[in-house]
Amino acid sequence: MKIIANADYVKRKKKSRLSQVFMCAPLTVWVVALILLPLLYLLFMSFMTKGPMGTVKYIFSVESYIRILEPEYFNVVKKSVFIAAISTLACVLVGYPMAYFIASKKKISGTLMLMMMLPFWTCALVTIYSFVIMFSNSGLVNTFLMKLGIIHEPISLLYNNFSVAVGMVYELLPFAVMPMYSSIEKMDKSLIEASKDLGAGPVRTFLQVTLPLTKPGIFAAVILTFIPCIGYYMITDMLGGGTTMLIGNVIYNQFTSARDWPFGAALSCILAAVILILMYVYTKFGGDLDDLGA
Amino acid sequence: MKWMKKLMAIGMTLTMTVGLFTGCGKQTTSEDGYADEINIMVWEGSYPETIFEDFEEEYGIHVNISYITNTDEILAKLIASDGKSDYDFIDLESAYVKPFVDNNLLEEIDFNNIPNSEALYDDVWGVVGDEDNTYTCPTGSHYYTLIVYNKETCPIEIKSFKDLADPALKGQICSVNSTISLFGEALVALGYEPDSTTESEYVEAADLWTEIKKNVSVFTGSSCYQTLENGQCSVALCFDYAQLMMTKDNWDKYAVADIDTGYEAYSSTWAIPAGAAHKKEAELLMDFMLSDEQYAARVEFYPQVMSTDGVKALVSEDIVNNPALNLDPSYTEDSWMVPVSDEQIELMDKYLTKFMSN
Repeated sequence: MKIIANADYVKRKKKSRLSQVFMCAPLTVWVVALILLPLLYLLFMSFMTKGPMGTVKYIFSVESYIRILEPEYFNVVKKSVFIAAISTLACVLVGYPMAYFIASKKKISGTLMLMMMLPFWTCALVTIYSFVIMFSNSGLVNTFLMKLGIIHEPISLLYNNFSVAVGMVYELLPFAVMPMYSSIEKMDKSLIEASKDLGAGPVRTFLQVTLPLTKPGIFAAVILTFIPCIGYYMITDMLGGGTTMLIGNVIYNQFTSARDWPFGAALSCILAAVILILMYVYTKFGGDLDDLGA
Repeated sequence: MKWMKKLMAIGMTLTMTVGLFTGCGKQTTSEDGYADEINIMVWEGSYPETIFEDFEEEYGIHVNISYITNTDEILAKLIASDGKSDYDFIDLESAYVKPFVDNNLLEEIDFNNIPNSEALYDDVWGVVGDEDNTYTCPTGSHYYTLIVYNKETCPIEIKSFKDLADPALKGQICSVNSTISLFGEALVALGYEPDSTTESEYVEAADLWTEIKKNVSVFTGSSCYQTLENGQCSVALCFDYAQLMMTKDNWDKYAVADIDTGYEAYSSTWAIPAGAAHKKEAELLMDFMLSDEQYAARVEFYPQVMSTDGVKALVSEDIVNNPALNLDPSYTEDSWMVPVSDEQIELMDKYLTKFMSN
């Protein structure tokens, strides 16, 4: 009897495994074919040698990785990290009060979140280009201010740090607000009341209760903003006038004008490694990968 | 329910797997022996879509268009195709003809299939690298990378390329971002050959650009002329002067700086990538686009120098008189054209990254 029961159990388990395999198959095919294999190919390519006219010689070399340390390219990496850090800080500083406000308005929070997601409904390129039209010397903002008599000649709103900052915050703000909103919303509100009952003022309550409790959300916001920001050269190109070269530009150039695919692949791998390290640090500090959508 | 889930999973898996190989189908042909469709790779904004619609109407060949913003995109795709190109027709600027020919990336063209090419003026034939006209067919146009300025707002008189580094022009310049143009103009201004492969000369060129960059408000691949029109910049190093001059009001407002070292010139050609499946159809399209009517449609859409008598008779008077298409020879007689090599590309990329990251 026991043998038959075991055989039944093994049969059921095999069947269940088979069904699991079938259920996972679509995602597995997708991930392997479109994510894993291209990434492996990228890694493989980064250890190859550049050939003439953009071709690749399949000879092992670590030259591309050594080249990243040359001052020209290292400066680009430093600058990219700096711009990404500034943009991330701006997104978190603007996004936190916004997330707090949305979380506090329970009845309309759904509508507010929907409004915040509006930029995602259109192509990023279109929204950025609308800034170019708005901020140019003969654009909407300058014309409006001049009509009102506030200014007498156009002020420079485009192709500077201001326009880049506005563009970055506009495009990446939803990435920052969503995890912070989730964190604030989940927070046990009775702890805030307890803090007040014990005599703490609003500032102290915020600093000693709200902020520590919503730390995972802030960290998730930092990661979700910093990661796209570091490779996001479209905004600096279109709103900053393309006068600054970021790591995204260098990678793009290697696959086009510079014709050096191994070097482009090496830079991409380094960028991917930085992102993985950031995610590892995030989990080490108690972050939940689910909050990042992973 | 379970069997339904399984069925759905199998269905999705198959759909995705099949989806990955979409496009690997066999080719079909029309009754007159031509393929039903061809794939082309051309510059964005250079052709009115009506040309391809008319072509389809005339010959029943549908044209699948991939737009490019620089020739390196073509190169990257051709190299990746490993001699079996998915494309049948490409736009190719003259600077790239030599390396494309040297690396066997192009098919020979049979000009017997392009009778309209006979009307083209002599000066558009024989680009560097294809002097025998074996691999490229001229589109009939050539262009210059010029320094254009607003006569009313430009604060200085520009007499040389180096004047672009004058601090009076701070935030006033819009420049093309093509590495060939950037380094070519700087090398020539410094007294060197535009196709130099001497690293020390690139160091100097990058230093000059570091100074000029302080005045540059925007580097862009296209639409430099818009920054002049909207008042954002007063000077532009650009190749779209003809588009700026499309508006008659601009004819007296803007001028080309008469610099002492000459400007970069380049001409535009069509070519057929090596291994293209539809060579005959590509030649048919070239011939169609060189017909007077279609050539005129191209010029009206994107103003360019005209190289046949037939087209000049068909375009509007504003195009014929457009100052950009009738440049004084003093601006163009010192012009230079340069084929790019791998050595140059490597040096250009290194020093472009250097001055752009400063």
